[in-house]
Amino acid sequence: MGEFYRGLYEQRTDLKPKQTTQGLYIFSPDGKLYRAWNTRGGEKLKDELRAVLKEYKAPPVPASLEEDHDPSSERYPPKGTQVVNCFARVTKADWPSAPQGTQKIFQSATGREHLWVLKSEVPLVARGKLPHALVRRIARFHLNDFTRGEPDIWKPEDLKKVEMDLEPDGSGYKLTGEVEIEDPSGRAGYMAKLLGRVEANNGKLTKFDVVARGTYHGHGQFTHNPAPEGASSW
Amino acid sequence: MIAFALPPEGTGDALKAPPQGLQMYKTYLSP
Repeated sequence: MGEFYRGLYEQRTDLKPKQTTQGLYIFSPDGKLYRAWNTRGGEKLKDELRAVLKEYKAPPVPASLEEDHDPSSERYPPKGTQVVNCFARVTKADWPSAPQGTQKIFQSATGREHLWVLKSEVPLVARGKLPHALVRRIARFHLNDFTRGEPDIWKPEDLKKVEMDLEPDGSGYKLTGEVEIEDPSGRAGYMAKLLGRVEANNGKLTKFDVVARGTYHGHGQFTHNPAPEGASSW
Repeated sequence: MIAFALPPEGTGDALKAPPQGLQMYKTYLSP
């Protein structure tokens, strides 16, 4: 599949050397590229699809699409992983511009992410233990501002304080936690408290409801768009 | 606010699951 994709973007005439190949592609199963671009906007997508449909002739689907897997391009969680949904919202902020157009969408957007609880970690959490690696994974990859695009991932040294604990509570566990995350350069930071409830049945997680609330400041390379001014509530 | 929630069993696609954690925020953390 990696070779298939390379075959597509090598047909683009708009790309400069080292420029990202990210974008929207319209192509046929035999690898013929019709259109490619990298901007937002549903109207442009609809217009391009309508234009391509006028000239499109469906080719036979090559069997190699099903057979030639490139493991490095696959993005499936390891077997036995339990995937937890993550949602991020800015609850209060001073925005530098009045909301309109795309900015209006960004300012009220819900970011979506997915936390992987690995097969080896699931039974531990089910017994009320939070593995160190899982706690660090939550903090580094999911306690971040992902409402306006891809945030810069926290580095290990950014985690100034990361505490999360489970304590028995009825038929499940109560999760409490506190994090202080700060990029040493002052670029961005997040301070928050966590509260949640975890339940399990037969060694599998049946509930992982956790909320982090706090204050965030700064932005990453791709999340300025623009970012809130000063500290925002999360 | 960042909310975590397991999708309801059997929904398959995690993206289609409702954000249970958002309701929990209202229940536990509202002032």
